[in-house]
Amino acid sequence: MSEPCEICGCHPARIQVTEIRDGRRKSLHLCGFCAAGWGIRASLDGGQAPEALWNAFLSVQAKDAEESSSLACPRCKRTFMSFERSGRLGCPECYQTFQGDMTRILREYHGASEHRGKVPFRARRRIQLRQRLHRSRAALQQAISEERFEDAARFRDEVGDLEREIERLSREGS
Amino acid sequence: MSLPPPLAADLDRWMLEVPADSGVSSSRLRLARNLAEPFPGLMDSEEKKELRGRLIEALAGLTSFRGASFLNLEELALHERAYLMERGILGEESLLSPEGRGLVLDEKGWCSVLVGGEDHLRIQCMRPGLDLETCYTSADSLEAEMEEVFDFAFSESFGYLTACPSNAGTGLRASVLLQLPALAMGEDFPRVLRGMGALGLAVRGAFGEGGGAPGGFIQLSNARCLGVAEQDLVEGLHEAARKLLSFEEKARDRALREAQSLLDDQVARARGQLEYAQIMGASEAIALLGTLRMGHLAGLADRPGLEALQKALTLVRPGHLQMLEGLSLIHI
Repeated sequence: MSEPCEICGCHPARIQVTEIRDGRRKSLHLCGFCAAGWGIRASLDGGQAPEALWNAFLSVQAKDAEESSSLACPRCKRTFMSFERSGRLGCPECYQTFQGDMTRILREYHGASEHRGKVPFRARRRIQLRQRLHRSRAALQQAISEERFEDAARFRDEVGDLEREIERLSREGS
Repeated sequence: MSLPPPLAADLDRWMLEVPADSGVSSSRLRLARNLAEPFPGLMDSEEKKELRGRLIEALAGLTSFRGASFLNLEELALHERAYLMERGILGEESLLSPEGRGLVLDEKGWCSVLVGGEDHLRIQCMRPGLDLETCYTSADSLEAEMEEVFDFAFSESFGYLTACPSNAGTGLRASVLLQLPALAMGEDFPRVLRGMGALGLAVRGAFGEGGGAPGGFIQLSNARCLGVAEQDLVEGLHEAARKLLSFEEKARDRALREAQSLLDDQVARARGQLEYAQIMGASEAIALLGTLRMGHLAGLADRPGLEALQKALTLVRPGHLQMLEGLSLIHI
């Protein structure tokens, strides 16, 4: 591309921009200055934009994937390999499908794989109940190991109640 | 379809709400949210339009969007999208691939929801100057209202689920646009930026090509957003921005002490070129205006005034220029 830039006409065009409008394609050849003015990064070295960081990160990390390499998401049919290529998942369920590798990738990128912070209103009740269930189960095990059978019976009932309540909420889709 | 008149006429007013001597032009924060269905990236054009229709209809019923504009991006002219991108309302993807994307924009253009981009919904709020706190409060209350009509995809361990795992967790990306011309001239600049990286923050030149930062304009944002609560992400970025501003002041004082004649020369050259050049690209103009602005803050120049410089820094960009002239320089 040694033609002059189609915006300024001063510098040689280095970047091709294609816009598709009403099914018609139109290409523009722009110089680095003008392309940058349009917000299009003029080189592969896009500074440290978050997107560039992610792409650079992924090109090293995802190749280690073993667990998910043969899996496809039952919901959207995307494979883990297509995620490795594009850096994007197909649907929210992909996180569940590729859970092992996603946990590893998220931990390596974010430095954590457990969410902290806001929880959707609808999920809040279910999550609180799960946390209580988790605590009651632990208390039940503790009571059994210490042969406190009356306590154990109480915790067992509590666990049953919580499981039923969570099941009910899941059925209602909240 | 074209931009609503208030927004189209509001070319530089928003920029003038920034205190003229502030080193921070604007603060921005977005929350990425999805529904429990395939992400837009998997959809063809028709499916995207169907999704957009459905989501926009739900959003139109919300109190927060009374009086808002509902735009189909492919129906806007390229220069209108460029203008919205320069204002930080749209990203590069929406400039170049607008098909099937929708934008809900409140009257002043401070809060918006992008529909059918990489994620189903992206809530975004902006403020002039350094004010991430207000950005978060606004985005958070908008999201609370949206929860009444949408069931967001969420996992207890991974948080809000997004098309790109780099956005999973809080789905929050906050950013500030800073001007650090004196710091950018110094040898320490790359080291300072690497330091930001170590804090989980990403830095890039705001208007430059490649890694350049003409005028010392940089955009600082959080690169990580899982495992840290929203408030902590916001506070972390706020602190980092304040730190960079204090580094900038020190760098300016040092340059004045140690190399005033060099600084004088640069400011005079910038003014000369701005005054006499006949043809100039946006990046070059921004770099020169940035230098002149620094000269102003350092007491080396007094004309044009800071407000005029601020205004010029906004208006020299291609989308703004075309909006100002009411014509599209690129015909597709």
